[in-house]
Amino acid sequence: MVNRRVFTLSFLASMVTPGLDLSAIPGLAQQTPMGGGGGSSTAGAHAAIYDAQHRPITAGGFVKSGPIVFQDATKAAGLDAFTHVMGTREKKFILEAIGSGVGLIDYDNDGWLDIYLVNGSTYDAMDGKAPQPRAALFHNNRDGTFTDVAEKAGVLNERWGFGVVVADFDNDGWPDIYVTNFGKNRLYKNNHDGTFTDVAEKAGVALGNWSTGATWGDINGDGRLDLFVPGYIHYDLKNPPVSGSKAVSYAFCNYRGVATMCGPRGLQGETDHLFQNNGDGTFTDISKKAGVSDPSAYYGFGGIFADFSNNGRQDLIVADDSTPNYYYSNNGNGTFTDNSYASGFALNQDGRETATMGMAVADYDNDGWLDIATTDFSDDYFVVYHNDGQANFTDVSYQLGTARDTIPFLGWGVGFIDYDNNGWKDLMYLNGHVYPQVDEHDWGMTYAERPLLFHNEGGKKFSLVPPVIGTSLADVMASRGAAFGDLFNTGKIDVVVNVMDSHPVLMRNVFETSNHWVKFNLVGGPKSPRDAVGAAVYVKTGTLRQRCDKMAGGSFLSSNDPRLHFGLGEATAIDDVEIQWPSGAVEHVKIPAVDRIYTIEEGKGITGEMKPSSLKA
Amino acid sequence: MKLFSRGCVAVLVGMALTATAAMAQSGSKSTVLDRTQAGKIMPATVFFRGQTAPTQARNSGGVHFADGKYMLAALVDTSGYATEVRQSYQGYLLTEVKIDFGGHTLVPGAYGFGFLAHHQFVVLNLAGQRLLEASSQAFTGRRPVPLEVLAGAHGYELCSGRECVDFHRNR
Repeated sequence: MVNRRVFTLSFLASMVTPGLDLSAIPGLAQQTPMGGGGGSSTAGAHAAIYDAQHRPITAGGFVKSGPIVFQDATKAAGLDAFTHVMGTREKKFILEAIGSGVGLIDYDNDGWLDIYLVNGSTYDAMDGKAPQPRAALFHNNRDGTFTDVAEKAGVLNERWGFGVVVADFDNDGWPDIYVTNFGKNRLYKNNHDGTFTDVAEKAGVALGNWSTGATWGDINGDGRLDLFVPGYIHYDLKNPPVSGSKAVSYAFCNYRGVATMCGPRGLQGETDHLFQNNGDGTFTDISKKAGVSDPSAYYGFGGIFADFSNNGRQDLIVADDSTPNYYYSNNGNGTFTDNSYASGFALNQDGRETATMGMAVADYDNDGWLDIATTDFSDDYFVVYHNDGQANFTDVSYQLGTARDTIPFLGWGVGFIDYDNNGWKDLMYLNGHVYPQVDEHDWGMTYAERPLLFHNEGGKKFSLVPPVIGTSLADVMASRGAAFGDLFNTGKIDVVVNVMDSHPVLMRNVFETSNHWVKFNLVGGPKSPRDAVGAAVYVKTGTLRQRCDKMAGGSFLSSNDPRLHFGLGEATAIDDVEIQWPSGAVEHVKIPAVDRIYTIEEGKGITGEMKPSSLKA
Repeated sequence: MKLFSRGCVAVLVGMALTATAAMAQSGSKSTVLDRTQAGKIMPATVFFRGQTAPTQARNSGGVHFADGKYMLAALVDTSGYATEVRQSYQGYLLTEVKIDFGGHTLVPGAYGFGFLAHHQFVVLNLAGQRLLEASSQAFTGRRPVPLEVLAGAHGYELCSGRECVDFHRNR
């Protein structure tokens, strides 16, 4: 394991702090109302939090016993065959520090999720002095193991890679892969035979500087998926941002007075792009006309198309690092209105621009409106924006009980996942710092950090699930992109993490529960995108009415399970399933049994059924 | 949604009334500048304590007084400064008129400023020395932004996050 710090049970046995309550620690209060966290927006330096063994809480606070949620299945699955590489370990420049994403894709349509892992690059590789690091496409062998078929599939990328998003852009029934890079992006078209062809140049979606977390959505209701690609920093490899150079606004880039890499503040940002799908394999850049070009060149990390105003249109949110987030309302005519400030999504409750990295979208309180969770830099809390209706967002992080525990952490991947299938979506964050220097100082932070999992207490509160020694919640790693999905068709949501300069981590969900579930694989009709991106599904059991939306792209630089998963609690029957298709059609489907994966085609009802597998962890 | 809309209307009506009061106080048509208006005339970079740093036009505001003179404020990207400087230097203030913060007069010039803990507002000279301190107040009831200038009950308010400090033109 290269640079991955997974603490063994024996080592941790002497480092236990049962039930550590961060909210009870007075030193956590911020010291300055407006502070600079190096080149990132923060709430100012906070007092360090340590566990009983004086380990920073970001790599400590473990408990001996508690709920066992995830086990590390990386080696057993064979995912340790992949090693992520990005620049140097010193992270002298921001290009090296961001990491890469994970895409969950059933590329061969066999009903089992495969895994695409983006890789970075090195300066020697960019100079042609060393081989380019390669991406991996892990084929699911349906026996708990995976085999890397990236070379045969033609999806090695071999560029300085960041993001991945999966969708069927050409409506042929086979998922395609869009990879964002520093350099030209890739659009891997699925050839239906286990191979792909890069058509990015021909399609007109290659771009050429630093692209990040892209998203697909049908913005105009023509049944074709359009593509939004955020830009982060306009970067010049030949003139890297060194303190005092022309590429940087400052003479001295630092974090808490210690010299660090520069950025993002002080560096030139990169604009965003929206490509309209012409339906003939090509796209047209309509960013300016549509009103989403980001003329201020904020530091964009990711976009997500979803219907936040429940009007049947795909709105767009953009995570911006240390600059205001964007919320664009879809006007229904191919244009958007920038309602970032009016919606409440631009800033946190203190009016502060946050260093937003990842985003997750879901209806966590089952009120029928999509909410948003974002990750943030250390010395600031991760924000949960509640949708009060009509895309009016309120920062409810402190009311929900998620804010305080997140402050020391620097978060990336994030997902709303119902890990215990009780019908309430829980919240998970994957973390790791950008500055290796934090390990050398007494700041209460670590470069490698543990994940955070919050249990949803009926939509009103979230409580931290303790990191039990020997489980994946106690894995300490430099996490970046993460994707969430049911890799083994057991009805439980697993997590795949792309770890900076190391092997990925497969966090297999092993939570013991008798709760039921159901999962839907949607196929759109002639007037909807074929993979039904943009569909909203409502499942009613008793008094509970849940909503899940089909989205392409999210978390951090990643793409989640394309199937929609519903935990059902103790319910053994579903009262109603309502599907709002992207075409506008509304369909009610009778579900014969729970604990199944159903394929539902628009206008045809259930056309396929799969029973859960019995694959044991 | 309805509650928020009513709240917005109430705030807007309140702002309009206070703006009217402010105009009456200053004689005629002084104008509060929003981020778009102030961002156009605020310098892109400013000098303070040995360095030049970019201002944030998106986080700017000001007043265009009836006689044509300006007061402008903007947050500054202070990432390149040492921690001790950043603790008090957050924004840049340019004024062509005498203005009063909490009974202290600031003469025309260029300054740094910051909102500190315990409702403290400070103005600094370009060498980083404190020139004046005034009390700020936390507000509730509307969404805060990183920086804005508003018409207030006693003239104007310079706000950052949830903290505001009153100021008025000193004749």
